[in-house]
Amino acid sequence: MVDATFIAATVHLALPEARVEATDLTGGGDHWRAVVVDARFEGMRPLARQRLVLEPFKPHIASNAVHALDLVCRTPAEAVAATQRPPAQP
Amino acid sequence: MALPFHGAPTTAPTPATATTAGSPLTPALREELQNLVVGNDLVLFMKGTPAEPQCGFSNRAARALDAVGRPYHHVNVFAQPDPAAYIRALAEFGDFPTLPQVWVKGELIGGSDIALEMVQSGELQKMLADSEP
Repeated sequence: MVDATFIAATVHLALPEARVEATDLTGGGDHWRAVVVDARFEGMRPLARQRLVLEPFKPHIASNAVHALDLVCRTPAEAVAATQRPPAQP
Repeated sequence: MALPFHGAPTTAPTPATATTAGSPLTPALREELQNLVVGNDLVLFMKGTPAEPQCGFSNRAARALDAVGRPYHHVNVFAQPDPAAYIRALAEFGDFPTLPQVWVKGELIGGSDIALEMVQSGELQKMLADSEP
């Protein structure tokens, strides 16, 4: 069973220093939202950031243990800015 | 965030590919995908269709692209002869493990969250506008 600790530990395989906030979207343990904050995102495009974080998740996504992962990758400065405005809604 | 259409085929049967040790991304499929993303300015690979999405994230990506206000090409992975193999091939083709995938002018920009962000910021529209003659 995948839990928030597992999500954070997997992110840390790619980014050991990252701050990770994982939320189970459905309570089923396979749809996650993760906000990842790390200074290494500085200067990286959104896709490059996600590829970096998703790399250690590949086997878990392929096995469907993690069916969906909504990733928000921010630099520390962006994370501060994000707390000062409401989150984007679809 | 609601995931209203979820629950349909999350685990497609894989017997057809179980015997294939190699990559599901055959040269023929690679060429087909390449032609698709180069031949269409805006392509959405998704679970289901824009009218009937079968995953909340695919739904979100489709709604983001709807907001762009121009037609886009969509590919329903579940409508492929071997959906599981097609999904794995896409992951390899885009070097991106999850669906949906949004491609703009032959370039993968990301999944639903990046697409939504880029539509809201107008960046995606700008990428498309740059391709106008």
